[in-house]
Amino acid sequence: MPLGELDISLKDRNLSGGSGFRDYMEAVTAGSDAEVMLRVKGGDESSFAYLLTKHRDPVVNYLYRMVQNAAVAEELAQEVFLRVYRARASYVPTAKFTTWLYRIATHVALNSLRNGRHARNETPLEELAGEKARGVRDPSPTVEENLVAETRALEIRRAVQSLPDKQRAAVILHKYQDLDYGQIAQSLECSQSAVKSLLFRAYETLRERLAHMAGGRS
Amino acid sequence: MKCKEAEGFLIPYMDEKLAPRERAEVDLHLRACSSCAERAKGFTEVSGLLDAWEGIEPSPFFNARLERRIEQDAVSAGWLAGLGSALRNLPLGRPAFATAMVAVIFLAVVLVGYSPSTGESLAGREQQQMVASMAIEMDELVPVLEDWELLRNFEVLQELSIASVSQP
Ligand SMILES: [Zn+2]
Repeated sequence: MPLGELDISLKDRNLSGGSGFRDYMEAVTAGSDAEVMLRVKGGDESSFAYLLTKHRDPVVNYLYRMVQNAAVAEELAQEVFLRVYRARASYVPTAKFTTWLYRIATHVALNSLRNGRHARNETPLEELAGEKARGVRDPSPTVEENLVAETRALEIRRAVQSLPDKQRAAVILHKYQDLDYGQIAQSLECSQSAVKSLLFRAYETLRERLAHMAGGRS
Repeated sequence: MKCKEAEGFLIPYMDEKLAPRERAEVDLHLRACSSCAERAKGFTEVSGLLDAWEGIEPSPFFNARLERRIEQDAVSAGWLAGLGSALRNLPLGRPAFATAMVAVIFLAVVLVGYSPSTGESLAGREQQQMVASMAIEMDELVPVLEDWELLRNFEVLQELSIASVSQP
């Protein structure tokens, strides 16, 4: 399967412009990843490559913010997409594809945290600095600015890490994955009011822990 | 609106997800209640701070690794399907096969337990060699059975029943 050559295979499809490609693009432009997943179920491997390309980075980052370790997050993301692929034959599109995907990802993340498959304690500062460097966009901050930004980022990460697993998942799905309350509820297998309650408690904790950072800067 | 009720609205208030009438009620409460107003402001500030947490880039080998794992998966699934049908096609039924395996293990344990420690007779040595070779065969079989169990447990729907998530 040409996962690594996805761009090329899409380009080929684009150039060929055949009816198969039109069907494919219709499913895609219909806005429904569930339809694309049905194509995977039907044996179309390039549709799986499409879903992987679209959702890989968000899923890796969801898991990264959950476990706060880049290597572990990537390993867990592999497991998530492997599970998606394995489940293709029995896939039934009764929910949004994203909801289904994040339900798997949440299950994998919470399992990993429960089993303590990685260090629960704070990630070493050097690793944080290294991981931060990969995300830096601003090309010309001074050394001091960098140091201040890194210290702030570290405090934010520690505050999120201090949350109970389910509250943390709710905050990340809400803040970074842009899921609505219904989708978060399905991902966490709870009610929408439970989601709002998880978020309320999490934000209360974060407000207390980050009070000294608020207001001053922004 | 009381504080307790207002608290339940503060997250959707921050997200601007409230209906206009609910929003107006919360606004009214926040103008009258400094503690809830401070909390609402704090939530927005927290959300702003969380914006500063940047994500990471997956490794450039992510897709290739996944591709390899999917291929390995397909190979072992085919191999296990073969093993499964081979086991089913044995002249013994599955329960009988399992019983036979338990009997082999039991026999091996008994033989090891009772083989005379001082007996250097030819029969004794042959007995020990036989037990050793049986133990090796079992060693080979056990990981196979464990893999079978592992892969069965990976069946995503068995764990999650996610395919039947209903629409909200
Ligand atoms: Zn109040």
